[in-house]
Amino acid sequence: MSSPPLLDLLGVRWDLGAPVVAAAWEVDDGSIGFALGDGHLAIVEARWPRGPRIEPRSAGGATLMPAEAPAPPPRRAACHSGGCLSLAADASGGFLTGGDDGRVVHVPRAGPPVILSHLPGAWIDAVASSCAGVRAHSSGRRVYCVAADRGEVIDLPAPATALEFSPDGRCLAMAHSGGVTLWSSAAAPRRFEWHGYHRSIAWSPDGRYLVTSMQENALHGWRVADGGDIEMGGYPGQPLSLSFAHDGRYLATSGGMRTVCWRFDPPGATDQPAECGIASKTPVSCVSCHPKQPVIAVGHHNGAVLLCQPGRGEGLFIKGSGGGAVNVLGWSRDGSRLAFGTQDGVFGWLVLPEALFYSRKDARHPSKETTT
Amino acid sequence: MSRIPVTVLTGFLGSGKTTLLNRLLRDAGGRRYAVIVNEYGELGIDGSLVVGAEEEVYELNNGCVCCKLRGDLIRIASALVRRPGGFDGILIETSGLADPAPIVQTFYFDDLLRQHTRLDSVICVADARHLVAQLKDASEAGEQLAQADLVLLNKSDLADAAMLAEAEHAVQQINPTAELQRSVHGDVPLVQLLERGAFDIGRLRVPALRLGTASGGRGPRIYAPVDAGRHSTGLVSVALSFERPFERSRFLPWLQRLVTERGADLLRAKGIVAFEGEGRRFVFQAVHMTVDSGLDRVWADGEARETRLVFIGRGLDADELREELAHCLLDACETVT
Repeated sequence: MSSPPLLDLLGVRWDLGAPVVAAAWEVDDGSIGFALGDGHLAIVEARWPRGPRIEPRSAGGATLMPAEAPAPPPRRAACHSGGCLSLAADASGGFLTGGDDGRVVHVPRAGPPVILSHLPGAWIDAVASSCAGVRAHSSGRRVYCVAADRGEVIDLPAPATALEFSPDGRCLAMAHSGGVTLWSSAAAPRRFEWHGYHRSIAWSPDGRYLVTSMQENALHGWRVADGGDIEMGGYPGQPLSLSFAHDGRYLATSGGMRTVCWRFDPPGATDQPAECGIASKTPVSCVSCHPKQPVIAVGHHNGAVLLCQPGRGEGLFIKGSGGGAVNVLGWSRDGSRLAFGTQDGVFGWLVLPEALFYSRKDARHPSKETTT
Repeated sequence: MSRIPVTVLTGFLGSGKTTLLNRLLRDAGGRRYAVIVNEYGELGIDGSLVVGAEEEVYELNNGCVCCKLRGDLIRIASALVRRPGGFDGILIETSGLADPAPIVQTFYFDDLLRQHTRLDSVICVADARHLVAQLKDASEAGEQLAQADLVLLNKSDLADAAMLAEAEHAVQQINPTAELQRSVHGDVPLVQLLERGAFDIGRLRVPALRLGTASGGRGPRIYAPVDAGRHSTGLVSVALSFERPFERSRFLPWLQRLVTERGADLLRAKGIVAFEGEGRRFVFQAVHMTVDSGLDRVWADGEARETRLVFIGRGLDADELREELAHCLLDACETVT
């Protein structure tokens, strides 16, 4: 008999009856925001005093210590009159949301939501917040960058589909049909052109590479320094979920029946991607790389969540199927907790202590850095 | 999981699309629709959501100029399927000069939309008085007719009998698979407009040929083409039927090659095909290079296993298609007895 999914032992879940559109960890890992299709932001305290623990045994293995008290319940903040479309953790604490009521809302750590901007009749398709405190939001072709002392409007050749600040916060990448436009306060805007419809963005952790996922079942990458192109294709589905490994050595993506990983240490001209994780009957819908370990959280269309490792074919069950496709997965910045949310509105988080990874690795995978 | 039906309303400026849309919403009877319009009109309907969109048509980067999608629809419909409770339907009104093909392709190309929505119907509203002239002047009018499964000859009270007959003939020539209805102020019962399942390959409508119009004197009738309608826009429809079964291993590569090589000119294709040694009907439909196909129900006892094919496109040659298809028939090399 197989053991129950780890979520049942080490985590908590809720269902507020609205699809989960996005999730983000607050900058200090203190809470998780889940943006919902009904216009609310569900905020969950991600500290669980007297929650479940894993205690390593001296003789090997570990003992599970069940929770002695329930997890703090979510609080709902009404942000938008329609649905939430986008979410980001705000550098000043709390969260930034955009909705189809034309509003950009800041939900602070304490207190009611604050409307930062309102464009009546428009949709706020994307929001982003940089570690340097710059906030950005987009509506159609227009992107607004707002810093403490000034604001700037950027007009794109086509409506923005995604916004993502570089890891150092200095550069904003804006995806659209035809490529990506880069904006920074210090330099003139640059444009990386590539024919096709670009829909999501990932920066490598060192900021040297930028990758977009495309409607055409492919990825496109650029070397930021000189705009050199990297073409990555062959997907059976759209690889909309992208996540770089903590050390930048590979990029994990959805779009196949298993997790697809591309080398970036550095990428080669004739590279073929490697698949990892279990061979599932339903495609991967969402991926998220652990911030410290060579571990990938993988969500499937049937609602299942597993952990897998690059180059390996097995998986550790986190959540069983159900609740619709996994729309969002996100690790806390310290890597000790994982949040998830699904299309049918199931969301939650669980504790994944580091001991869990070491006991697996020490037993079967002594070389820590080996990835294939 | 039930998928949200999507209905596309197309037609020239002034044909009465907005009037039809308003009727649809007024008669919705508590159903909740999301309406995507090209520009805000005078719509304000309880319980329904109206979204204004700028039509963004993009070519896909797959080396094919006919594979296009609507970026605005991807963004809007992706958000709509994440609204709790869902919608009873999504209605899309196109601008007067829009080709509906990229809308159809968008709902085929996008993984999320394919899972959560299904294209139900493309309804073309035409002004019965002006359709024939519009077909001569603008290629978009023909493109809209070609994609439609229901054509409403609207304002029929303002047209005389000769005009109506001419308009109906023009529709038949371009799209023999479409259902034709006369209407006044978009006055058509809701049940005839919704839940049509026109893109459900199991409910594919490929009407029997009007044999009276076939060119005669060809000996045994293996196939009978409808006379190809030719217009100044160059749009032609070719309808073919075959009594002998096809060889699967010849027909499928032929179809693949047709949509690959002629995709840009092939606006629409539909077919019900009898394969040798296969008890079920093979059905397919295509919009340019986008093909949806599969094995459908079993041929009924006593049902004639007749293959029916319709192709709508620019510069299609009926004789050439017939010739090519004859090579895909079972025992194509042998003499017909």
